[in-house]
Amino acid sequence: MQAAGELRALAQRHGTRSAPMAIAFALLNPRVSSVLFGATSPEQVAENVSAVDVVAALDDDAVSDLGKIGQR
Amino acid sequence: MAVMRKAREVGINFLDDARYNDETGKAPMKTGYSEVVFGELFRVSGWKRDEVVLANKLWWEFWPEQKAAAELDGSLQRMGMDYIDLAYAERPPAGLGMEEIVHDIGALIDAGKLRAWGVLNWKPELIAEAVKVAAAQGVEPPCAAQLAYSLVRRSPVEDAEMAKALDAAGTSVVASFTLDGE
Repeated sequence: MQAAGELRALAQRHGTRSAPMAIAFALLNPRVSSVLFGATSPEQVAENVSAVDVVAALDDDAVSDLGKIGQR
Repeated sequence: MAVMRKAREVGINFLDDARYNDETGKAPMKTGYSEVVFGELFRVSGWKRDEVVLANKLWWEFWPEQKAAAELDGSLQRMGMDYIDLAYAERPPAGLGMEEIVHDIGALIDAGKLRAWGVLNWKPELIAEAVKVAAAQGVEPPCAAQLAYSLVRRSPVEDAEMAKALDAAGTSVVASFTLDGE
Protein backbone atom coordinates (compact mmCIF):
# COMPACT_ATOMS: atom_id res chain seq x y z
CA MET A 1 0.00 0.00 0.00
CA GLN A 2 1.35 3.38 -1.05
CA ALA A 3 0.82 5.08 2.29
CA ALA A 4 2.93 2.46 4.06
CA GLY A 5 5.83 3.09 1.69
CA GLU A 6 5.58 6.87 2.08
CA LEU A 7 5.41 6.50 5.84
CA ARG A 8 8.47 4.28 5.95
CA ALA A 9 10.43 6.71 3.76
CA LEU A 10 9.49 9.73 5.85
CA ALA A 11 10.24 7.89 9.07
CA GLN A 12 13.68 6.89 7.80
CA ARG A 13 14.43 10.48 6.73
CA HIS A 14 13.78 11.53 10.32
CA GLY A 15 15.71 8.76 11.98
CA THR A 16 12.77 6.78 13.19
CA ARG A 17 10.47 3.96 12.10
CA SER A 18 6.95 3.66 10.77
CA ALA A 19 5.08 2.86 13.97
CA PRO A 20 6.34 5.79 16.09
CA MET A 21 5.88 8.12 13.11
CA ALA A 22 2.30 6.91 12.67
CA ILE A 23 1.62 7.45 16.36
CA ALA A 24 3.23 10.89 16.12
CA PHE A 25 0.69 11.79 13.45
CA ALA A 26 -2.18 11.16 15.86
CA LEU A 27 -0.42 12.88 18.76
CA LEU A 28 0.08 15.99 16.66
CA ASN A 29 -3.67 16.57 16.45
CA PRO A 30 -4.40 19.00 19.28
CA ARG A 31 -7.70 17.26 20.03
CA VAL A 32 -5.92 13.97 20.70
CA SER A 33 -4.75 13.51 24.27
CA SER A 34 -3.64 9.88 24.06
CA VAL A 35 -2.94 7.20 21.51
CA LEU A 36 -3.66 3.55 22.25
CA PHE A 37 -1.32 0.85 21.16
CA GLY A 38 -0.79 -2.79 21.97
CA ALA A 39 2.58 -4.38 22.31
CA THR A 40 3.79 -7.94 22.39
CA SER A 41 7.38 -7.17 23.31
CA PRO A 42 9.16 -4.67 25.55
CA GLU A 43 11.04 -3.42 22.49
CA GLN A 44 7.76 -2.56 20.83
CA VAL A 45 6.71 -0.61 23.90
CA ALA A 46 9.89 1.45 23.83
CA GLU A 47 9.67 2.01 20.07
CA ASN A 48 6.07 3.19 20.21
CA VAL A 49 6.69 5.48 23.17
CA SER A 50 9.49 7.15 21.17
CA ALA A 51 6.66 8.74 19.17
CA VAL A 52 6.68 11.45 21.83
CA ASP A 53 10.29 12.27 20.95
CA VAL A 54 9.43 12.15 17.25
CA VAL A 55 6.74 14.78 17.79
CA ALA A 56 9.21 17.02 19.59
CA ALA A 57 11.74 16.75 16.78
CA LEU A 58 9.50 17.36 13.77
CA ASP A 59 9.62 20.79 12.20
CA ASP A 60 6.69 22.38 10.38
CA ASP A 61 7.74 21.01 6.97
CA ALA A 62 8.00 17.49 8.37
CA VAL A 63 4.59 17.79 10.02
CA SER A 64 3.19 18.93 6.71
CA ASP A 65 4.82 16.00 4.88
CA LEU A 66 3.44 13.61 7.46
CA GLY A 67 -0.06 14.98 7.03
CA LYS A 68 0.06 14.38 3.30
CA ILE A 69 0.62 10.63 3.60
CA GLY A 70 -2.33 8.58 2.40
CA GLN A 71 -4.12 11.68 1.19
CA ARG A 72 -3.47 11.51 -2.53
CA MET B 1 4.86 -9.39 32.20
CA ALA B 2 8.00 -8.10 30.46
CA VAL B 3 5.80 -5.82 28.39
CA MET B 4 3.98 -4.50 31.47
CA ARG B 5 7.26 -3.90 33.30
CA LYS B 6 8.72 -2.07 30.30
CA ALA B 7 5.64 0.06 29.98
CA ARG B 8 5.92 1.14 33.60
CA GLU B 9 9.64 1.74 33.19
CA VAL B 10 9.19 4.11 30.24
CA GLY B 11 6.56 6.10 32.04
CA ILE B 12 3.32 4.86 30.60
CA ASN B 13 0.51 5.84 32.97
CA PHE B 14 -2.64 5.01 31.05
CA LEU B 15 -3.74 1.41 30.59
CA ASP B 16 -6.76 0.29 28.62
CA ASP B 17 -8.42 -3.02 29.50
CA ALA B 18 -11.52 -4.65 28.13
CA ARG B 19 -13.58 -7.79 28.53
CA TYR B 20 -13.52 -10.02 25.50
CA ASN B 21 -15.29 -13.28 24.84
CA ASP B 22 -13.08 -16.32 24.72
CA GLU B 23 -12.56 -17.53 21.18
CA THR B 24 -10.01 -20.23 21.96
CA GLY B 25 -12.27 -22.43 23.98
CA LYS B 26 -9.49 -22.70 26.53
CA ALA B 27 -10.15 -19.84 28.92
CA PRO B 28 -11.44 -20.64 32.41
CA MET B 29 -14.44 -18.42 31.79
CA LYS B 30 -16.51 -17.63 28.71
CA THR B 31 -16.06 -13.93 29.00
CA GLY B 32 -13.87 -11.56 30.90
CA TYR B 33 -10.78 -13.70 31.32
CA SER B 34 -8.81 -10.86 29.74
CA GLU B 35 -9.71 -8.75 32.76
CA VAL B 36 -8.53 -11.41 35.18
CA VAL B 37 -5.22 -11.70 33.36
CA PHE B 38 -4.86 -7.94 33.22
CA GLY B 39 -5.40 -7.62 36.95
CA GLU B 40 -2.85 -10.33 37.73
CA LEU B 41 -0.26 -8.88 35.36
CA PHE B 42 -0.88 -5.42 36.75
CA ARG B 43 -0.19 -6.48 40.30
CA VAL B 44 2.76 -8.71 39.54
CA SER B 45 4.47 -6.03 37.38
CA GLY B 46 4.81 -3.60 40.23
CA TRP B 47 2.25 -0.96 39.25
CA LYS B 48 0.76 1.05 42.06
CA ARG B 49 -2.96 1.67 41.60
CA ASP B 50 -2.79 5.40 42.20
CA GLU B 51 0.02 6.05 39.72
CA VAL B 52 -1.91 4.92 36.69
CA VAL B 53 -5.16 5.68 34.89
CA LEU B 54 -7.09 2.49 34.20
CA ALA B 55 -9.76 2.47 31.55
CA ASN B 56 -12.34 -0.17 30.70
CA LYS B 57 -15.53 -0.35 28.73
CA LEU B 58 -19.25 -0.61 29.24
CA TRP B 59 -20.34 -2.80 26.32
CA TRP B 60 -24.06 -3.07 27.21
CA GLU B 61 -23.67 -6.66 26.01
CA PHE B 62 -26.29 -8.09 28.36
CA TRP B 63 -28.43 -4.96 28.69
CA PRO B 64 -31.20 -4.62 29.85
CA GLU B 65 -30.86 -7.65 32.12
CA GLN B 66 -27.43 -6.36 33.10
CA LYS B 67 -27.35 -2.62 33.54
CA ALA B 68 -24.28 -0.41 33.92
CA ALA B 69 -23.74 -1.02 37.64
CA ALA B 70 -23.83 -4.80 37.31
CA GLU B 71 -21.62 -4.78 34.25
CA LEU B 72 -19.04 -2.60 35.95
CA ASP B 73 -19.15 -4.67 39.14
CA GLY B 74 -18.39 -7.75 37.07
CA SER B 75 -15.37 -6.07 35.53
CA LEU B 76 -14.12 -4.74 38.86
CA GLN B 77 -14.41 -8.18 40.40
CA ARG B 78 -12.54 -9.87 37.56
CA MET B 79 -9.85 -7.18 37.51
CA GLY B 80 -9.54 -7.26 41.28
CA MET B 81 -10.01 -3.50 41.52
CA ASP B 82 -12.18 -1.20 43.61
CA TYR B 83 -12.59 1.45 40.94
CA ILE B 84 -11.84 2.28 37.35
CA ASP B 85 -10.68 5.75 36.40
CA LEU B 86 -12.41 5.86 33.04
CA ALA B 87 -15.12 3.73 31.46
CA TYR B 88 -15.91 4.18 27.77
CA ALA B 89 -19.56 3.61 26.93
CA GLU B 90 -20.00 1.62 23.73
CA ARG B 91 -22.71 2.75 21.29
CA PRO B 92 -25.97 2.05 23.09
CA PRO B 93 -28.29 -0.73 21.92
CA ALA B 94 -31.79 0.08 20.73
CA GLY B 95 -33.92 1.04 23.70
CA LEU B 96 -31.11 2.37 25.86
CA GLY B 97 -31.65 6.12 26.02
CA MET B 98 -29.21 8.84 26.92
CA GLU B 99 -31.07 9.77 30.12
CA GLU B 100 -30.52 6.27 31.50
CA ILE B 101 -26.90 6.10 30.35
CA VAL B 102 -26.01 9.41 31.95
CA HIS B 103 -28.00 8.71 35.11
CA ASP B 104 -26.48 5.28 35.68
CA ILE B 105 -22.95 6.44 34.96
CA GLY B 106 -23.47 9.44 37.21
CA ALA B 107 -24.48 7.09 40.01
CA LEU B 108 -21.35 4.98 39.50
CA ILE B 109 -19.20 8.09 39.70
CA ASP B 110 -20.98 9.15 42.90
CA ALA B 111 -20.39 5.68 44.31
CA GLY B 112 -16.66 6.01 43.62
CA LYS B 113 -16.51 3.04 41.26
CA LEU B 114 -15.76 5.30 38.31
CA ARG B 115 -13.83 8.56 38.26
CA ALA B 116 -14.90 9.64 34.79
CA TRP B 117 -16.55 8.35 31.69
CA GLY B 118 -16.00 8.43 27.97
CA VAL B 119 -17.59 7.24 24.77
CA LEU B 120 -16.50 4.59 22.32
CA ASN B 121 -16.93 5.14 18.56
CA TRP B 122 -19.90 7.42 19.03
CA LYS B 123 -21.07 9.67 16.23
CA PRO B 124 -20.95 13.42 16.84
CA GLU B 125 -24.72 13.73 17.21
CA LEU B 126 -24.70 11.22 20.06
CA ILE B 127 -21.79 12.95 21.75
CA ALA B 128 -23.64 16.27 21.51
CA GLU B 129 -26.71 14.67 23.07
CA ALA B 130 -24.63 13.20 25.88
CA VAL B 131 -23.16 16.60 26.68
CA LYS B 132 -26.64 18.17 26.82
CA VAL B 133 -28.16 15.42 28.96
CA ALA B 134 -25.16 15.37 31.30
CA ALA B 135 -25.43 19.12 31.84
CA ALA B 136 -29.13 18.80 32.58
CA GLN B 137 -28.54 16.00 35.11
CA GLY B 138 -25.53 17.61 36.75
CA VAL B 139 -23.26 14.79 35.70
CA GLU B 140 -19.78 15.36 34.25
CA PRO B 141 -19.77 15.19 30.45
CA PRO B 142 -17.70 12.49 28.78
CA CYS B 143 -14.05 13.48 29.13
CA ALA B 144 -12.78 11.23 26.37
CA ALA B 145 -13.95 9.89 23.03
CA GLN B 146 -12.17 6.75 21.86
CA LEU B 147 -12.15 6.98 18.09
CA ALA B 148 -10.27 5.29 15.29
CA TYR B 149 -7.65 7.73 14.02
CA SER B 150 -4.68 7.15 11.79
CA LEU B 151 -2.95 8.37 8.66
CA VAL B 152 -5.31 6.25 6.60
CA ARG B 153 -8.45 7.06 8.57
CA ARG B 154 -8.86 10.73 9.35
CA SER B 155 -12.55 11.45 9.34
CA PRO B 156 -13.71 10.06 12.69
CA VAL B 157 -11.70 12.80 14.35
CA GLU B 158 -11.26 15.48 11.70
CA ASP B 159 -14.83 15.87 10.45
CA ALA B 160 -16.21 19.31 11.32
CA GLU B 161 -19.22 17.90 13.15
CA MET B 162 -17.01 15.79 15.40
CA ALA B 163 -14.72 18.73 16.12
CA LYS B 164 -17.73 20.78 17.16
CA ALA B 165 -19.16 18.02 19.38
CA LEU B 166 -15.81 17.47 21.09
CA ASP B 167 -15.14 21.14 21.65
CA ALA B 168 -18.57 21.69 23.22
CA ALA B 169 -17.47 19.79 26.34
CA GLY B 170 -13.73 19.82 26.01
CA THR B 171 -13.83 16.10 25.31
CA SER B 172 -10.47 14.88 24.11
CA VAL B 173 -9.74 12.03 21.76
CA VAL B 174 -8.10 8.77 22.69
CA ALA B 175 -7.00 7.46 19.32
CA SER B 176 -7.38 3.80 18.46
CA PHE B 177 -6.25 1.78 15.42
CA THR B 178 -3.49 4.32 14.90
CA LEU B 179 -1.12 1.67 13.56
CA ASP B 180 -3.64 0.39 11.02
CA GLY B 181 -2.24 0.07 7.56
CA GLU B 182 1.36 -0.15 8.75
